[in-house]
Amino acid sequence: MKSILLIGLATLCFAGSEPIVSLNSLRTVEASINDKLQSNINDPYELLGSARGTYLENYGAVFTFEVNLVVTSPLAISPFSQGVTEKEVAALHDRKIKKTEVLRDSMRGMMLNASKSLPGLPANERIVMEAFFFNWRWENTRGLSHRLVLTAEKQKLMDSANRHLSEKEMAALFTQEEL
Amino acid sequence: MSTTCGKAEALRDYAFDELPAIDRPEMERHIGACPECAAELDQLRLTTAALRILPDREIPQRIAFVSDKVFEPSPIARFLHSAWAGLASAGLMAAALIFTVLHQPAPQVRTIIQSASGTDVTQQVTKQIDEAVSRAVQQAHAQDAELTKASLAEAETRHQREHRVLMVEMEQSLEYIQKRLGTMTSLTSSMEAPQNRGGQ
Repeated sequence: MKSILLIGLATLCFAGSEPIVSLNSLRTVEASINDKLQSNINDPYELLGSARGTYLENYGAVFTFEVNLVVTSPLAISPFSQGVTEKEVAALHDRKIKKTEVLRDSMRGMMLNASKSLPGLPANERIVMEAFFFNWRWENTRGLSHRLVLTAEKQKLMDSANRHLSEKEMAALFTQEEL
Repeated sequence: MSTTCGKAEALRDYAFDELPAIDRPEMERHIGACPECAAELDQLRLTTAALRILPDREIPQRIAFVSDKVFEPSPIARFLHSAWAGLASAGLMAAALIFTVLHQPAPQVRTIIQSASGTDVTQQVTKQIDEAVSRAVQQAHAQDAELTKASLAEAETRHQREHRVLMVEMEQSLEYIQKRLGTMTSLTSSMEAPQNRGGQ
């Protein structure tokens, strides 16, 4: 009886508090991230985990996704294939290094756009975007990141959203963490 | 070299171009009539031809004679060749032989042969050979078995390692495919959701 009363009280408490960042705004940003990642026709990313957004109270909105920077078929390691040559491994490594930089720039752009799509997010809170990178076990992962995390304050992003920023200004706007 | 016609000497001179030119026609007629001389002439010509093939060699510069001092026997040689020396060496050899016979230990094999009959000896020798061969074969088999065992163990380890790598890679492939399918499903459903909402 006592536990039922406690559950009821808790339900009433949570029902009374509306989330300040709406689910719809988070879904909008998720969709724009997915679209952006799949829009590069010439050299596409392989989206292995679509964007997921969540709001952490008093911290900010966090978006995560997983990509393979270069599209590689899983058949490359099947018993029917002839295996991957060292030359191909080296070429793939180089491409991934270059595309990490390209993705970082894209993520910055997406975060600038996200600042305009999250009206409920307090200006002093953050927008965080985290990319997880998929690498095959046979790949040379030396120098490659497994995760790239960009963090920026919403207010700063909004201030810069409509301005053309130099590379230096853009870099100063974000906190970057590579793991 | 002799002929019954008595012209052997003239024939030799003819063969070596030493017969006077006046006598040559008569000799040629004789050779034509006498088959014995004709055959002898052929032999002489053959010998001449064979001698011409041999290379010319110089005569040795120094010719030694038996009377030279070089061939004179030394005092030691003279002693050794003397009868006394022969007797002394014979006595010495006899003494050495007696000493060797008296002091040499009898070989084991000889003892076996002396103590056993002919059949036993053959059997023992055969038995020993069989044992030695058997030991050698066993050793070879043991070495082969060890090598085979080591090779098998190595192959097994390599196979397990390769299998593990393949399994890990297959697992990653499956994970990859699942992720791809999950993403596609998620994106499709998110695209359909607004349409459904719009339809309602």
